Amino acid sequence: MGLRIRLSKQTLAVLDALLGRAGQWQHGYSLSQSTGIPSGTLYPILMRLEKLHWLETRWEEAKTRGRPPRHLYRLSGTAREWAREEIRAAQERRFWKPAEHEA
Amino acid sequence: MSMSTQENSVTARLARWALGCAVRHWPEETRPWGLALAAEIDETASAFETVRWSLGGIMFFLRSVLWSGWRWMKLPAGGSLSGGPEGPSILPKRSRAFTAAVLAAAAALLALPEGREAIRTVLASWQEYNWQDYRQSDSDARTLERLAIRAGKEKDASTLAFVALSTTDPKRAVELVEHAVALDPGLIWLYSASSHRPNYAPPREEWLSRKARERKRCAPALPTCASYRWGLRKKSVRQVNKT
Repeated sequence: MGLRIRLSKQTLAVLDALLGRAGQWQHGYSLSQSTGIPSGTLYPILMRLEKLHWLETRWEEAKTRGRPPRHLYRLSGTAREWAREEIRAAQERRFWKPAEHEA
Repeated sequence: MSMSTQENSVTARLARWALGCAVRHWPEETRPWGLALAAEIDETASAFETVRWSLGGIMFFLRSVLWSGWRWMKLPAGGSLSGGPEGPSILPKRSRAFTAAVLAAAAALLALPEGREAIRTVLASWQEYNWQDYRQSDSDARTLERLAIRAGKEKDASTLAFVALSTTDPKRAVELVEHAVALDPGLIWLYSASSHRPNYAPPREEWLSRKARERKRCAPALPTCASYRWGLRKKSVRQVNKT
């Protein structure tokens, strides 16, 4: 088992969203849209997950000229298992449940 | 997604500008995250979304600034008094937070009336003692007044005499002397003692005539006065401490 941390409901929602498209790169804005978490909360969570090596990141070259490059995120291989376990544990103790549109 | 619908909105442009300013001043440690957040603003679908995204970014910026500031505060600071060019520091370096806490404590001490009074007392002790320049502290004056009020209620002539000899207010001294002598005629010597200090009103005519009539009672005035003051001071301090 990896590093156990105390996860907030918002962090669990982000993990759930990342697990929903496991292995695929996602943008911050689409994560915000799918979880309903505002940018001011989402990015500190992503930053913390990356520091824990749960999150892989990379920069995507801009498709439109003049636009800045965008940041992409996905869960790392081992983090997917941990994330599933954390989500299951949170659901068992009724701390958190997935949003209805995601269920 | 497109930004065409909100491109011309003043609010959206203002939000973009504000986020751009934040990114320019973003702390170095988390700057890539600020850039990542700012890059997403072009994806917002409406002016409302743009503003919301920008506000979130500014909140994140403020948190990053605070976090960066706190990290800076925790860094050890100060010049080292080293034993030599490569010697270890003689004094341990303290964090900036520690220095800030010490400065805040010192400022709080200065802000407290007791702290200011303590400093005044120390400064006064460095100066040559001079009755003319004597200034009673506010808290001393308040304590004396409390003593006088209580002594008046309890008809305690001795304490009234003490306060009359200690107060720097000539009018109040006269009142207290009269009250004390009215309660205990044996304290008539206060008529002389209370006017020995500078800035005090000269003894009243009626006081002088009464002293002349009761000469015997006034004879030991000065030595008694001195011992009385010191003895009563101790008594009054004990009373104040009890309350």
